[in-house]
Amino acid sequence: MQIPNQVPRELMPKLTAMYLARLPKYSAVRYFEDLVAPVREASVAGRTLRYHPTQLPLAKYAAEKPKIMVDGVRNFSFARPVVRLITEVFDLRRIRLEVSPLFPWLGKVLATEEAAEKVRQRVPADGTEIVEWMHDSAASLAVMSAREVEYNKHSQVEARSGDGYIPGVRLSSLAFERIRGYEYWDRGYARVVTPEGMLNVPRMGLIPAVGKDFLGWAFAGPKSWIQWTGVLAELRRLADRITSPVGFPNLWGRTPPFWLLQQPSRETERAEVAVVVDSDRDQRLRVAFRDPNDYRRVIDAGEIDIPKGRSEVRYVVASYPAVPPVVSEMQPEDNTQTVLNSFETRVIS
Amino acid sequence: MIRNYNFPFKAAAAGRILYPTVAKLPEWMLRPQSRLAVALSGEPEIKVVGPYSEDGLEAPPESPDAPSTMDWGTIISWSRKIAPIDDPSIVEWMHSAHAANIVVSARMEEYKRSGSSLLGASDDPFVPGLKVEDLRFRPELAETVAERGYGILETPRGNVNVPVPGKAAGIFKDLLAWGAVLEAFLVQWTAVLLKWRELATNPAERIAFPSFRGLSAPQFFVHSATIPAPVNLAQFSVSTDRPQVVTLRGRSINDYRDVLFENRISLAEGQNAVDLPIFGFPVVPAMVIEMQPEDGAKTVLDYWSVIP
Repeated sequence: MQIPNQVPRELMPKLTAMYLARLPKYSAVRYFEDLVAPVREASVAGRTLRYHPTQLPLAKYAAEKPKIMVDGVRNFSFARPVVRLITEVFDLRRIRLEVSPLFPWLGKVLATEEAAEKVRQRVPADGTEIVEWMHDSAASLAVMSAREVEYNKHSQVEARSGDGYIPGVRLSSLAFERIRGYEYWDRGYARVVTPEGMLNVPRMGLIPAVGKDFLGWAFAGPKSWIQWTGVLAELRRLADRITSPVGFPNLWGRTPPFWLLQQPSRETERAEVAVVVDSDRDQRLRVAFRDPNDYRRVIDAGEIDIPKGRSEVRYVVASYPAVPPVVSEMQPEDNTQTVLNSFETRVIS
Repeated sequence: MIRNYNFPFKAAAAGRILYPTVAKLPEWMLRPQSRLAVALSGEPEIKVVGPYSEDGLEAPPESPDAPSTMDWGTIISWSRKIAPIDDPSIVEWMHSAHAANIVVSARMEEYKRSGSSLLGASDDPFVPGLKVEDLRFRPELAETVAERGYGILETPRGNVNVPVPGKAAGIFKDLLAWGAVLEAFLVQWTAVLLKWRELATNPAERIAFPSFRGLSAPQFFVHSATIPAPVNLAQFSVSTDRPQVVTLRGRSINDYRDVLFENRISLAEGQNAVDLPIFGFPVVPAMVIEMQPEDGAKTVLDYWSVIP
């Protein structure tokens, strides 16, 4: 067909009327500048995996100065942290955690074992429709959906749980290989398709999936005969500050890492990071700082001893020509209940 | 890289976080006369140029051994074969959910080929529960849902009632979603959720229309010309396994509920190449195209291109 060279005359009155009708409604419309979510490709097990990278909402000064992203990262260092105990009391009821939007009747819950028991009592197995694995799967979904609500106030994480055999568990960029529960258990690991390749997840174990531009994790959980529970999470965009509590999920004792974008609000050679953490017992929190140009590269790391209760942790970061944005990773000990209450990077003038 | 979008990455609605369905906009759409522009479609010219085929469609990465077909019967038979119901831990709804996840997974991969993002999942909304990003089915007993006649798809912008069995699209100002209920037993039921997170622009590669137990979902993508012009020619191709009428709607990029035009296009079996003139005032704006095939048909969008 030849492209018509003008609008047919008979359509003009209708188009004009449509245009005028929308004028008041759309004249105030504004559009938004934002990061493009590019789809990238990786070769995994001989196949092409298309994935969405974890985005960093970089401050303008950093995005526009490559020197900060290169030299700043090279010269980055952090000083010994100072820990101040605020209260020895750890009480989940007093922390403003969210409840699962799917299972609000479970209340505030960080640990899947606690949630699974409640689900089991409320919806007992009947052998025909409700079977054992569904309790575990619902429990992990309950814990993760509440954590999503908390993190997503600040940015975006997406998680999913289910039976890794059928119906299967996958997210946009991660997927558990379909395998029967007894095979997974006998072999000792499940396998997950990630942008970094196929990763083995030990039974009842959790592994981070850290790629050049991707952050996520996978947990292989309890099994019945054919079924087993798998949990996946991928970070779509990192938060650069936390102003309301975000819990660390406790998946049958395993605690995944937590990633944030640590960046001062303006260009500076020194900044102070202030973090408020709740913990149900004394523990050693591992922290690592990852290169914003390649998340696989750890540029500095350390450990912080946190007492039971609520504590404030402060540490100074420095670099030249300026403190760069870095990916801050926090890894609590397994078998703990930990809540990040706030996270802020302040400029030291 | 920074680009212009019609909606922000994140918004709040009714006390909940909303991740809107966003579309990348060309530079010329920032001009006031473009963002206010409207459009109408002309008469399509249709030619059958080849047979129906499912070549070039994607396979789900988690199940590369799944049958490479769009045929629901074949997929669910395969699911029943690999996980027979005689095992006490396998119950009937899982086969439908598994088959639906295979379909969703393949369609997500195809949509990603166009550099964009379609999300979806299938499960029992009661236990273990079903959610996709900020969308979820209300977790209720199957008998409650069956007696009432519909399941409730909850979004931050409002709820959508999805018939049992049946399907419904959730079209809001800044959100495009779709839900289906495939079956309901006493306690459990199987549902499917789809959400368009970032719309593809003029998809150049094949995207199949998701179809679950004969219920066909629409596809949404952006029609965008390279320069502002009062007349566009949309050249696209749709393959179908049987003659059918496809409904095509042009929706405003400013509010997806605002339908600029609707056209019903009769397709013959095979690959149909379609030329569709679109007229705009003052120019043809970038807009969202919704294409809805008939239930029971297998349909593939081969490509969508725009002149100029």
